[in-house]
Amino acid sequence: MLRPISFLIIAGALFLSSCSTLSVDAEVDTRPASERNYPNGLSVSALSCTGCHTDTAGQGIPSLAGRSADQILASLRFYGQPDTGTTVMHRIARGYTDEQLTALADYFAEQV
Amino acid sequence: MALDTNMLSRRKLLAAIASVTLISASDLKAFAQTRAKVVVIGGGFGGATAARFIKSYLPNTSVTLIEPNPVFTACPFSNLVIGGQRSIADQKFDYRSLVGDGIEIAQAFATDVDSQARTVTLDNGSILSYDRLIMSPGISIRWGALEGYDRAAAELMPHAWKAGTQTLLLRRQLEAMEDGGTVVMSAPAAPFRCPPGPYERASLIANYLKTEKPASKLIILDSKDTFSKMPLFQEAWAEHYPDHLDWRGASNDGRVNRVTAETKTLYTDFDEIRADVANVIPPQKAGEIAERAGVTDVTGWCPINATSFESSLQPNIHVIGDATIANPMPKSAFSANLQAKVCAASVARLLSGEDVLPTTLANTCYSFITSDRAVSIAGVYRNDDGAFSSVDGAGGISPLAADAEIREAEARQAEDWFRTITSEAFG
Ligand SMILES: Cc1cc2nc3c(=O)[nH]c(=O)nc-3n(C[C@H](O)[C@H](O)[C@H](O)COP(=O)(O)OP(=O)(O)OC[C@H]3O[C@@H](n4cnc5c(N)ncnc54)[C@H](O)[C@@H]3O)c2cc1C
Repeated sequence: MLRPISFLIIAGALFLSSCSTLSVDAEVDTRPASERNYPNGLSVSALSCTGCHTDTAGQGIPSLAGRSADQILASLRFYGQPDTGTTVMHRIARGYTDEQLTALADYFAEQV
Repeated sequence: MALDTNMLSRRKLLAAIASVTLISASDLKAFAQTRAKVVVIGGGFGGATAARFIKSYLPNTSVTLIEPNPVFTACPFSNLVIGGQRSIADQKFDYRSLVGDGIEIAQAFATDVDSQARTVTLDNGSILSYDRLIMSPGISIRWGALEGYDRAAAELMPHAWKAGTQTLLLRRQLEAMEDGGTVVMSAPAAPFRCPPGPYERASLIANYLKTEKPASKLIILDSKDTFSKMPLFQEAWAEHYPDHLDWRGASNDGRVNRVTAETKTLYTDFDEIRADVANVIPPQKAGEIAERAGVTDVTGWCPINATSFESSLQPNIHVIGDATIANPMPKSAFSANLQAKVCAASVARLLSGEDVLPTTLANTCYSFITSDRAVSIAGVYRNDDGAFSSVDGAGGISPLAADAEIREAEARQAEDWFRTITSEAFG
């Protein structure tokens, strides 16, 4: 629960400034919704990927860490071609538009 | 805390400040979300993941996870324990990481939910209030729905459809069985937890019989004529277990409609089969607390809005995982984990006064066909306008007639998946 003292600081900060990017107290996120922690738009769809892909490579599933957006997009486009390949990624990538694949590649390139 | 008595005036004060400054409505909402209380029922794949993601999306929100067991025993890969390839210790996960994340653990069983008062009652007598409740209670067995199959019967003919003592009971019965014995599995009609699960288990039991008790045999009595990854399993069974596994579908008198536990006898319409070891996978429904909360319909499962995961029947209650009606998404740990993450994002948006967003969801389920080979099924889904749909042209099963290397690669991928999904859920 909010301590009164921090509440007053926050109230004061809000009073002094309508600038909503102020981070005056860890207990209150005063950033606008678009800058908060939770995923928006296409990045929500990245949640489907992280059940398998982490930042450490396994023996069967590659890590996406340290790869550029171009590298990731090239792989995703390869997987998305019709009628090729044996892995689950072939069957999954076909369900995404090129715009979605591009957004996913950009998202994971930034997560390094 | 003298000043705390002034808490009631906080909202008024903020409103006053807002009225004389340029503070937007969303700033007030940002303040409101910090006071929000989220309660999660069930610390399995859905619930543990949801608690962690809510906490990371809205660090200031109070998150309480209600789960009676101090240690969770995972079902995925438990068929390898039954087949003798894996230790049950590798299936166990505790909640220490969640505590480290700032999540409160209420080690108790939720006995009631009052959706009007927005409270959850626990078996230790305490009552928790919530702004948003997320329920991931998994499944309950429909005791008695299969005549003769009650709690006592499950001690003699284990279901092993919730992992732990039931898993070990089935394993010990297989170990104790003399060579030349008959193992009988009864598989239920859909919907049930983990559609390919019975057939992965059958493969691994047959693998055990073939290597350790070669004069023995497994008979699967099925209430269906088709099942998940059927062509792949049938191909594997013909290749690996032609002498150790028989499958009987519903139109071949495979549907079990009664059992007698004391004699381990299973009855179909025209036949009775005596087993040395019987694994009865019974009919199921959503975890019982869902019924108490009023979020189940006549099917015994929970209808939801697919975009927000909010119950179609009760406001402010979200349901995820096996308990939901989410088809075409299957009842899998992969689905439960992903639904938890998307639900957490939706709840974060709702608590911040924003609208929920539709997205694309995927599922992958691997099944072992031998101790080191696996096959898979995948699907891609949308959750626009509150309903799930499959994305055309995507998804499907592993190729038939594939080389051993492809099956072995999928087994390695399955192991990576298990590690990643359990670390996303339990840390
Ligand atoms: C043999 C087998 C093999 C499987 N293999 C796979 C696989 O390879 N891949 C895959 O993706 N899925 C697999 N599954 C399916 C997977 O186990 C489930 O889909 C998954 O566990 C569902 O998650 P959940 O959160 O809905 O339920 P669970 O993980 O079962 O969690 C429910 C939790 O809620 C708690 N709970 C229930 N009621 C209450 C209450 N009233 N109060 C407090 N807590 C409560 C329970 O104690 C439990 O911890 C398998 C299942 C089985 C049986």
